[in-house]
This record gives sequence, structure tokens and C-alpha cells, in this order.
Amino acid sequence: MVSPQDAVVVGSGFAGSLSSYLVVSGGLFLLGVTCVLVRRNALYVLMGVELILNSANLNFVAFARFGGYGMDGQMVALFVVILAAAEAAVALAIIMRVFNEFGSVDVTRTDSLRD
Amino acid sequence: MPFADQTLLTMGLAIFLVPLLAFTVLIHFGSRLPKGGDWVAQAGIVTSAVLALTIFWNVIVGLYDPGWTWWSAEAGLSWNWIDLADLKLPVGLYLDNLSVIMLTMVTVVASCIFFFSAGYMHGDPKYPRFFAYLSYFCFAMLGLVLVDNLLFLFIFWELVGVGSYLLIGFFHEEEEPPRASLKAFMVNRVGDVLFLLGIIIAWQLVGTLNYPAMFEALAAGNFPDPASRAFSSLSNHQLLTLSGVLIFCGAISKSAQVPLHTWLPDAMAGPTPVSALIHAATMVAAGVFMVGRMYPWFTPEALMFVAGIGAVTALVGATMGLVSFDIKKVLAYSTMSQLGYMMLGLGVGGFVAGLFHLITHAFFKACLFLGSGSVIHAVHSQDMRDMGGLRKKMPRTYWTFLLATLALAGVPCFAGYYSKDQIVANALAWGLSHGAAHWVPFLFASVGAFLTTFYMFRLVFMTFHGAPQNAEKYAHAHESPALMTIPLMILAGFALLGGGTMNPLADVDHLWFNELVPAPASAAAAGLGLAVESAEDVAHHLHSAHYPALFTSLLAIVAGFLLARRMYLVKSTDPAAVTRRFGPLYGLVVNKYHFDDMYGDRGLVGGLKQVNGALAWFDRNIVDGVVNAVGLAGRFIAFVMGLFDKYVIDGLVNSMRTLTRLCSSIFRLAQTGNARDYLTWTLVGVLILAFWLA
Amino acid sequence: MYDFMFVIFATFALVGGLLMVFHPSIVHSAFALVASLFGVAGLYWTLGADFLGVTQVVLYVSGVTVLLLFAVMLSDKTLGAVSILRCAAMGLVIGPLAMALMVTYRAIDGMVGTEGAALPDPAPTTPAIGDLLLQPEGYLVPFEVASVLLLIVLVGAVTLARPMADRQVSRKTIADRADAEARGDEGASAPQGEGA
Repeated sequence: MVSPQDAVVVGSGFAGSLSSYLVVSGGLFLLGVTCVLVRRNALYVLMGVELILNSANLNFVAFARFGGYGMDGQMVALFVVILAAAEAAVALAIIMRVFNEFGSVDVTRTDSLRD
Repeated sequence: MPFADQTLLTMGLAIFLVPLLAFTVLIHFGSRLPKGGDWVAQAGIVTSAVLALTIFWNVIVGLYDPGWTWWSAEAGLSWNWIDLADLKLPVGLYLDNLSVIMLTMVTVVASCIFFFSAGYMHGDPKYPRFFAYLSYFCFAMLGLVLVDNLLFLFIFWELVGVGSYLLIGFFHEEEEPPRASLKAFMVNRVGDVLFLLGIIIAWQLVGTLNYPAMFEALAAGNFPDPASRAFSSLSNHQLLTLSGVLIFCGAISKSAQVPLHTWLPDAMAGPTPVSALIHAATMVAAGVFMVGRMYPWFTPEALMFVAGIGAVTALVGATMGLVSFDIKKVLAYSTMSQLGYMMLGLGVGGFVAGLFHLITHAFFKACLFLGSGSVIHAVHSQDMRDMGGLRKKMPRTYWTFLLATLALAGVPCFAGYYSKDQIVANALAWGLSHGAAHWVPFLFASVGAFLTTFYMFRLVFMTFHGAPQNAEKYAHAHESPALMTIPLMILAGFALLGGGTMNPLADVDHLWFNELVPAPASAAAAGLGLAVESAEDVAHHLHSAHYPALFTSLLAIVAGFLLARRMYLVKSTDPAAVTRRFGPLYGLVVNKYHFDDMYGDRGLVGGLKQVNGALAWFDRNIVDGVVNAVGLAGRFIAFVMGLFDKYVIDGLVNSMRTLTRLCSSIFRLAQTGNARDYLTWTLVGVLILAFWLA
Repeated sequence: MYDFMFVIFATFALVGGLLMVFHPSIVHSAFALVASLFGVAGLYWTLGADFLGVTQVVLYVSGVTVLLLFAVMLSDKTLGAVSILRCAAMGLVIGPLAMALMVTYRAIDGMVGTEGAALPDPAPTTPAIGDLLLQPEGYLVPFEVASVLLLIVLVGAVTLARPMADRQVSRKTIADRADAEARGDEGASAPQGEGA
């Protein structure tokens, strides 16, 4: 049981409500998706994915915080960070290979799957 | 300075693990090592031999230490193999004077044979594998001697069986060896199953398989309630006898006793060093060793069974040795006969005599086999009718062979004399004290002694004396290299000195073996409360039996020698005439008493084959008929189904194909191969789902 | 104070993201991504997740982005411009997506409520995270699995990044070298044999 004097109120305005965090994470998600969809450079695609992952992470932490779920949200976010690092390493390696095979990192030109 | 028990036990562990290590190295890398890796095996066995001799020397030192005459260190090195709540199976090393002497014998004989093999097997394409198998066998044999409980004895018992199987069938390109190895393996299975049954009964009776614990429990007489165990209708005494007889059945097959002896002569198809090591000195003696180990377990009835089987084997083996012309088979029958002697000795209460004979026999029989190997190496034939006169060509082989022959015949001053004489004396004492049918072992042993001398000198005269029978082979014969003759000389030395004395009138009670290995008290008699003959009585009988037995044996030896000389050296009697006179008897012996026929195609195996044939007929005509009818019905149904398939199903499938092709040509437009487009469509799909669900 | 920090960090995150998506130069975009990720790290901090914020800075802001910049330097930078037409077309997807997110978030916001905001600021989370990572009933197994995954990724990335042609060439040179050695040995030993 938490006594009132121990409680440090995070804030009454933006920082004190879940919805403001959700707006930021939603914005980041949309920006990430846009990036993936409109940019032709494979590196941009990768950066967009990172942005999407961050928005999801922000959601995890915010929900855990405001929903009172303890540390689990942060733990998941931590593992996502680890996996994102791994993903970035593999994706960059793939991009290097694509550059070597196709002479470009343009995702519109890597369409040999069509044939 | 004697070593501590713990040190000796660690050495014991090393003794049987070193050959295992050699085996592991050889089986994997043998062919890549220089000289085929024979030096690995030789180094391994020599290490074991040195360790065994060190322990042996400690025992000898202990002999003069009053507190150490019966030395055993069974409590030292042991761990739990199985450790469940109620079921504990500790396994450890059991080193007492008997196992130490066995270890020394096995490693020394094996060392000689390993070096001999390097000469004998030279140039064989499977040379490294031969030494790998030999090392493996030594590992198993030494383990058998060392373990402290009956279950592990059984496990190693099977392992030596595998070693024997591998080595008998070593020349598996030829026709005979694979068959012989299979026969040896199968015949041994019969005995081993009975052996296992005996072990199970023993476990039921005393709840442990550790030798000292077993005998202790048995002597205490705390048997389980007959109602609570299997065979509840049998009394404890009967069950104990049954257990003893079943355990001895293991020895019957392993030590080639009648009626499971048929594999041993066939096993001579293996390389000669193998015959020397496995089928003369060590593995076949394992049965005798096991009976010696379990000696306190045997009830008087079980021992009588042992003595009977041993006596019959001693005589049957010796007679079969008379008529064979194959040099190795004669020795094989001789081995069988001598093993019978050992069993006879054990059975009539001559614990020391039987085991002493095991040790002395191992040395001179190994020497005889290696000598025959040397001869075979020289003339490339095993038939004695191809030999003759080899004495001048192969002097070293001849002299060592002669020494071993004299030892085997039991000529005074030689090793065999001391042990064999004790057996005969024990048999006579048994006959004197029990009377009636108990005279049979003594009679068989005496006749056996006569026959032994006869067939051994027949062998020596036919092989080494007289005129060459086969001039061509004689011309090519030559003395074997030093690598082969030096082991022969070492073994011949043991044949000469194995008794520890050269005095023919030496007091048998004070020979080295009798000092080291006194007979254990019968735990069975103590546990069952049977009347035991007092030690004074036994000693008295033995004492009064000693000289009559000695004269009988000497008479038998002289008679055997003179007869062999007359028939095969001087040739004043034609052997063919003798065989004609004893026609039916001769035919019986030549046909190996029809034992092989009894098991063969017209006997046991044939009967099984007939049963098999009947079952096969049933299978072929009745079962197959039903199966075929079902099959025909199936075919008819399949035909109808096929028509349906062809016109209805195929039509459907074909129309589907057309439809699919049409659709795919439309959907292909969406397949741009561009990852971005795929992602876009994915998102569209997700959105449709989201709005539809919301 | 927290409100102020929230506004600052949220601005960093969103403006950084916008710049990243639409800036024609990929190098600038990469730095904009750094700013955005840094903003997210700050937002973690306002949520009381101090360890996660630091991890974000160390791993993402420095590690991943530096990796990204290396890749940028190694590849071509000519694909800068953003097609307006493409953006308009994608608007058709992004717009409904935004709507869907809004609807969903509103619904969830109502469910969760704001009572969590009154909870005490969890004092330094690092010990708690450390405990959780090393407890078998916590996250020990995922932690160990993640370490194995990282190893696999390390090997896989190295394997993938080597061009196929390169690999074939190296294999060929090894074989050539072996052949040459064999020939050289024969050549070297033959004269010796003759000499002896």
C-alpha cells in the first residue's frame, strides 16, 4: 500500500496522462511506416523500422507505468532494444550484399522475386 | 617394502584399464601408426604385467609377514553402480591372493603371446586390428578377474565372449572361421543364460552379489522365507544346490565341459596366438576361476555335479585327442581334458589343486599352442601327417615343446606334476572317504593321465621325430624368428619351474600356491548346518591317498609313453591295425561321440529347423493365402476406383487447372517483386481487418 | 517540471522523425534519427525508466546509428529525393492507419485510466532489472537465449556481408595454392630422388 506522502505525482498535465505518450508513440509509428513506404533507399527502410520499434517500446513502458504492471514492460522494451541491435546488424549485412549484387540499394530495383 | 593397500588397488585398476586404452588407440588410429601399432598393444600389456608382478611381489613379501598370509583388499576401491532406495549394487575391485596370481598369469602369458603374434601375424592386412582385439580381450579378462561381484563378473564374462567371437572369426574372408565364431558364441549363450538364472537365484537367497558379502550372508544362514520367494516348493538347500549347478553351467560352456564343449575344437579356426591366449590359457580357464571364486557357495551336491562333469570331460577330451590328426585340434581336446581335470579337482574338494592346475596349465598349454603355431608357420599345414622329423629343422621349437609336453603329462619335477598329482590325490581321497560311485573321478583321472601321455607323445613323435612325411614341406620348413622363439622359451621356463620346486618328493602342503591360496570354508555347509568333514579327516585321507595316487599316475605316464613310442616312434605296432580292432569304439570317438550330430542338422538344430519348416509352411500356405486373397480383392476395388479416378476426378482436376491458370494470370499483376508494394498491401489488409472488427 | 521535459523530448522525437523521413540527404536523416531516438530516451526517463533510457542512448543513439552511418558511407547516396506522387499515394494508406491508431488508443486509454500516474516514481530501476535478468523465475532464460542470438547474429552478419564472388575466389585460391604445393613438392622431391 502506497501512502500519500510517498507518492510523487508525475504531473498533472501532459506527463501525467497516458494519452500524451500514446500520441507521441502513434506519431513515431506513422512516421516509421511512412519512411518505409515512401523512401527508395534500403537504409531508410531500416531507419523507419527502428522508428517503429521505438514507438512500440514507448508504448510498452508507458502502459506498464500507467497500468501499474511493474517492471515487465521495461524488461520487454530492453529485450526489444537488444533484438533491434541484432536486427540492425543483420539488415545492414543484407544491405551490403544487396549493394554488391544489384549495384544499388534501391528497394524498387530488387524485384527478382517477380520472375 | 610392501605398498599400501590403496596403492595396490589403484595399480589393479590400471592393470585392466591400460589394455582398454591400448584398444581405444589401436581401433581408431592403428593403421596410421608406425609398424601397425603393435608396440602400443605390447607396451600396454607389458605395463599391466609389470604392475601385476609388482602386486604379486608384494603378496610374496606378505607371505613372510605373519599377519598377511591371506591378503585381500576387497574393501578399498568401490562405488555404487546402481543406487536406488532398496537396490544398491556396489562394484569394486577385489584383490586377494587368488586374483593376484590370476592377474600375474594372464598378463605374463599375454605378454609372451603379444610378442609372438608380432612374428606370427606379420604381413597380415588386418594386423593393427588383431592387436586391438587382443588388447580388448585382455581388458575384459583382467576385469573379470578383478571385479568384486558376481554381476560384473557376468558382464566381463560376456565381454570376453565377444573378444573370443571377434578373434575366432578374425580371418572372416575364409569359410570356416565365421561359422566357428558363431558356433562358439551360440553355444556359450546356452551356458550364459543358465548362469544368469543362477545369479538371480543367488540374489534372491542372499540379496547381494558381492563375494564376501554373499558368503557372509550365506554362512549366517539368514534365508528369506520360502513362501516369499520364487520356487517356494523347494527347500533352501535344494535352491542353493540349483543355484550352484546353474552357476556352474556358465562354466560348462565357457570352459568347454561336456556337453557344451563342441565349440572349442572348432574355435581352433582362429589364429594360433588366439588359441593360445583365449582357448588355452585364459578365457576357458575363466570358468574354473569362477567356480573357484564361488567355491564356498557350492553345496556338496553341486560339487558332486561339478566333479562328475569334470571327470567325464577329462576322459572324453583325452579320447578325442587320440584320434585327431590336426595338431591344433589335438591340443584343443587336450585343453578340454585338462579343464575337466581342474573341475574334477574342484568338485572333489581339491580347491587348491584345481586352481593350481589352472595356473600351471596356462603356462605350458600356451607354450604348446605357440609351439604348434611356430610349426604351422614353418610348414603351412596343420595336419600332422604332413610333418615329421622337424626336430632337426626347428630345434628351439622342439625343445620348448618337449618341455611343455612333459609338464602336461605330469612327469615328476615339471610344473604339471605338482598340480595334476594333487588333483589325482584329492580324487582318490574322495573315493576313499565316500566309497562306491565316488571312485569314478579317480578312475577317470587315472585313465585320463594315461591317455594324456599317449596323445601328447603321439603328437611329439609324429611332428618332430621319424622321417619327414612330406618332403616338399619339410624342405621349406625353417626355424621361426627370435621374436617367436623367445616367448616360447619364457613359457617353457614356467613349465619347468611353475611348481616352485624341482623336488619330486616335495611336501605338497608347502608349495607356493598352497601357501598363498588356502581352501576357503564352505559357506553353504555353514549356512545350511550340514555336517562338515573335519580338517584332520580330510588331511588324513589326503595324506594316505598321496603316494598311491602318485604311483598310479607314474604308472599311467610310463604306460602311455611306452605305447606311444611303440606305435609312433618304433612303429612295431601299426596304428591302423589298432583302429581296426577297436572299430566301433574308434568310430564313436572319431565322430566326437556324436555331440555335434546331436546339436546339428539331424539333432537339436535339425529339430528346431523342422519346427521352423512347419511354421514356415503354415505361413506360406495359410497366412499368405489369406493375405493374397485380401490383396486380390484390393486390386479389384482399386481397378474400379481407377476408372472413377480417370474420368471423374481427373476431369475435375483438369478444370481446376484451367481455372487456376486464369485466376493466376490476374493475380500475377499484383506480384511486382517489390518489397515495398508487398508491405503496402499488407497494411491495407491490416486496416481492412481493423475497421471490420471495430 | 515533468510536463516541460515531456514537451521538450516529445518535440525532439517527433521533429527528429519528420526530418529523418523527408530530408533529401541520408546523412542528415541519420542525424535526425539520432535526435529522435534521443527524444525517446528522454521520454523513458520521464516515465521513470532510467536504466532503459540510458540503454537507449548507449545502444541505439550511439551503437546502431554509428553502424548505420558506416553503411551510409559504404553505399550510394544518390537516392535522395522523395517522390511527392509516392507520398500522396501512400497518404491513402497512412491516413486510415492514423485513424485506426487514434480509435484504438482512445479505447485503451479509457481502459487503463490514469491511476498509475499517482504511483511513486520507482526509485533507480537498475537493481530491479539486474535481479530480474538473473533470476530463473524472472528473465534468465530469455537473457541467455538473447546472448546466443547475438552470437549467431555476429556470425551470420559476417557471413552475409562477404560477397558471394569473393567467397568463391578465396576458395579457388586455396585450391590453387594446394595444387601448386603438390606440384612443387613433386618437383622438389624428384630431383632429390635422382640425386640419391
